[in-house]
Amino acid sequence: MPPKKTSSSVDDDDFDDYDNDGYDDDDSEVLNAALEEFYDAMEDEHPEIIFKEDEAVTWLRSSNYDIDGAITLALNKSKKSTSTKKPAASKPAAPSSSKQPPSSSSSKPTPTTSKPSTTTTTTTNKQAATKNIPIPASVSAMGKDLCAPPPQASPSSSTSISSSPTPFPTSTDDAIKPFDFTEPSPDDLISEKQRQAFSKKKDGSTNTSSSSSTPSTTEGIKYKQNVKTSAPLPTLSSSSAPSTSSAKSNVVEKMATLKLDVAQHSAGRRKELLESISSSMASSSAGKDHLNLVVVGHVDAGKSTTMGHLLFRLGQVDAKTIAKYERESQKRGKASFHYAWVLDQSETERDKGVTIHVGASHFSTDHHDFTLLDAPGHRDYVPNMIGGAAQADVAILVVDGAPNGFENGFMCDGQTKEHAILVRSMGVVQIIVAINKLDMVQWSEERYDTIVSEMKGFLKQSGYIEKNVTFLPCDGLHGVNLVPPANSDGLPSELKEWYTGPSLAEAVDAFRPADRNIEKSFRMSVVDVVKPAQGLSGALLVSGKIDSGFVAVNDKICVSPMGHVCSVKSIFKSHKDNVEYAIAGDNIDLALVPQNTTLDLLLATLSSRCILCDPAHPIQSSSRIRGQIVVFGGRVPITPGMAITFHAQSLEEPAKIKTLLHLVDKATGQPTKQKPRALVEGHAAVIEVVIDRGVCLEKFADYRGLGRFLLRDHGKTIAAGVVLELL
Amino acid sequence: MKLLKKSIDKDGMGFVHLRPEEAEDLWHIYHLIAPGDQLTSKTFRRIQKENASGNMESDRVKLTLTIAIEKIDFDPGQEEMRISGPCVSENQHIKMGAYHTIDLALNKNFTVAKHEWDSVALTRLDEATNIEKNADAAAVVMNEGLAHVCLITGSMTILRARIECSVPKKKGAASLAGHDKAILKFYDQVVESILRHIRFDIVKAVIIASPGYVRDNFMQHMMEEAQRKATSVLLENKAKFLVVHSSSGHMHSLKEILASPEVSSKLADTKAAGEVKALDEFYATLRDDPSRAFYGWGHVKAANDSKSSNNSIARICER
Repeated sequence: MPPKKTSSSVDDDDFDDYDNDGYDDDDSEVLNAALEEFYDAMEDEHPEIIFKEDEAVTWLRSSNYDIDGAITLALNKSKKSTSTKKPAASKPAAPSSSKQPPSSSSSKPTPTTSKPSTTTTTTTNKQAATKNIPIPASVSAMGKDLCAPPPQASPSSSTSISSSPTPFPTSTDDAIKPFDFTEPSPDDLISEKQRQAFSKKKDGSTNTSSSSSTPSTTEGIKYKQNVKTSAPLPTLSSSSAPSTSSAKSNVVEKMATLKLDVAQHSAGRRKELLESISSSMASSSAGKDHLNLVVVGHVDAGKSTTMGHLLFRLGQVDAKTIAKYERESQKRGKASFHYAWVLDQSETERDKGVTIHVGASHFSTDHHDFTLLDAPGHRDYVPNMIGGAAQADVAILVVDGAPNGFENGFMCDGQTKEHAILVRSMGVVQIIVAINKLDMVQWSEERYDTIVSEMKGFLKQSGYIEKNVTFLPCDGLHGVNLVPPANSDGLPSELKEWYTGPSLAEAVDAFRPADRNIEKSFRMSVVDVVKPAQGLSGALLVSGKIDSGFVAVNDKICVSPMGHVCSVKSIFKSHKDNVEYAIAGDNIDLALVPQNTTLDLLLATLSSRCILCDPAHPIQSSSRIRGQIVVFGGRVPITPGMAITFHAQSLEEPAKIKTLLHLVDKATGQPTKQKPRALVEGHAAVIEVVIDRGVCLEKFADYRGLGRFLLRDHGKTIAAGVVLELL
Repeated sequence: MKLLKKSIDKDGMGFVHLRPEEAEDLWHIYHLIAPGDQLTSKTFRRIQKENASGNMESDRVKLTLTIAIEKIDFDPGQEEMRISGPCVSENQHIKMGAYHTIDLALNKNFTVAKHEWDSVALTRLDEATNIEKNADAAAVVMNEGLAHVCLITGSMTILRARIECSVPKKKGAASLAGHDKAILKFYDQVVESILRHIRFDIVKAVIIASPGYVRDNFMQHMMEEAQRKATSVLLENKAKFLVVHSSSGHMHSLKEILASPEVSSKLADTKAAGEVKALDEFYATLRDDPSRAFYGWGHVKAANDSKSSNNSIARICER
């Protein structure tokens, strides 16, 4: 490798000087070899000592290229420099600082046998002499040191060094020199200071120590240049971090992700929060944990009515409200819909008697706190239902048991099957099948058994395990078998004859708690955004479910993909309880105050496409993904170029099938046929999808909840999949 | 498109002189011309000249150039097509073989010469120059908080406006007001966009399509507002509105809207409907009997070569 220009010129100067004094022409070669060895030795024995190349050159020369002697000098120097409390590391940004080698020179391949034999002859006598040399203490003292009395071992060279005013041109402060871009520019210095000001709030994990906080991106790049050249005289570096390699990895990590130098919360705060979370979880292990429960089923199966009635029976809604709803619904000629009105609150929904949006409500049983998500059953609103199912941990599938009711929902175009598959595809494993409206068939056991056996076969085929499926009969409108018989009027005699199983409330209570990713970075998918009516001026109310991690009041969070940073003003659980923090799985409302944007802009851009995340580890948006899908079959086979609607979480984006990579054997997961021409029902395949706009997704392996997606076409779900790769 | 001159001999060689007048004409041109054809049109070119003092001077000169088409660049939304290739006509300013790009725009005459005008090209030419207009329609594909206003011509769909706003969903009584307010604001934006982009004197029908009740609520709101503000254009054309179902508010739902019987019966046969039908047929074959359905240039060519193709094989090349 050719040495850098500056260094070669240094050598040339020295040549002239030393030539007269009887040094060989190949002085620079000897010097280089010695330097390499010296760096190696220093790296091995005293990695903590920071020194500059010209210092090293001085030491080597003064000890007549004896490595041990030079090391002794270096040790003396380091003692002195620490006593002066002016470590060079603290001021890498100073433009006057002269050339320094990177402290970790391990990347430089150094032959250990390069020690020239000529120098060894004079080793011992020179070593004693070198100890008298004044040691360069700091950067500013450099010039003075160079003019200091030379070592006795080379008395003849002393005059030449001192007479030459600038043996190392770059180390003189007053010389005008071109900016060589190896040092930070004034702009860099300013941005560096700004960065430092921000990083004070940062947790310690990203900054190895206070002194190592300085290596900025530019320095990392410089370091890489050094590695590339790996010259014997690596003079082009101002990096002085004690652990350059760690600094480099930090830089790489930072460049790979979104550039945001904001931490969600400090390290101390995180520890504190984790402790309080784990303690509260330990204490509540015997108590209650939180589950998101989605209610699905074919349109008019009685989802809203059943759940409204359940809420009433559990005391979440008072009798007065129900009576009011009853009166009003009668006025509109929708007499039997009053329980549904508990969850269907908008005018359109009440007018038409159809749920449109996912209604959220809350209730508690003995062992769990539930967020109840009442999904719409109508086929047009399956996108909304998917948004609800994406938040869910467990599900209730309401099946219409009335004559023809079950058949309508189950056969041909009904939503019973589609919903069951969708809910499973979104990661729900525990499900209750509530067979509703059995009063219409006089609680016929035969009817119940027929439906159960049909459903059992279908659910097994859809990927549910039998022990996770509970069947029960009920009557939502009249409130039969919703709550334990002790609290209710008791079961009708026809039902009592044959049914001994749990009521809906008991079955719901028997759900197992869900796994929570508290350790992972904070992720929360946005379901709804509202401008709060009062009390929270300057804030937006964002609701959704936390997918992983946790969030606390006063945290800074990032709104991906826009990169807006917001601070959390307050957190509401169950729409009302103000809490200090919330963890993965909680369904919460966050009051967000925008930090680097305006409220109006945030309101305009914040939608269900967005994911709230930890600004230190933000989620990336991508418009092209590779995923593995299972095809449910649709109107047409899946071919490349097909326009579809892409659903993940609550978002819905037009997308295109880009390529069909290969089919996958469902049993083994091994690829079978490469480049299939089309995918039809039952196929499992790896495909690439291009989404019109970038969406925030994670690999399924990293974050399960954020790695699932569904493909729909013509109002039908044609495939469900998981993200393998973000391209 | 206006056919100004047509000179095609019985071998099929010859040229036509055309003037595109509508956005759709460019679409036809895009399909009419192919690499290898010669295109003649007026165009501008920057010519560098040395003046008396020896300095280089660049001049914008209007020329009539003929190029051999190599590349065609067309964006249906932009109403402009860029065609490039080497110059094949003698000219005092430009050497033969020098590359040039001709911009085709509306109302700009041009001549296309082909070595062979085949039946496909001639049919396309007939269709494009037929004065009897195909049904022009407009469509609004919408959902809550998302709407696409587009124009449907005989052979293409042009997206005119995309309206997207965030509408809060239901969360308690407090935000219900917010939902209603936001949705009305959204409706107003769509109405405004309809008035701006749709020319009711041209279009024969305006399709309002959405899942659920959005379309009905929107129609009701639009007509109420029209009454209140006395927007005569909406009131007079009330009969042109056609409210249909779609599975989503995205553009690609238009495909299913155009295929639905209530739309296709009302509109004169648009090409889109026919194409959707052909595509569906193809897909049905692909699903039921994959060995008889082919797509892609290679596969179709192979099928054609082996003489196994017949009418039942839909030949669709992915663009």
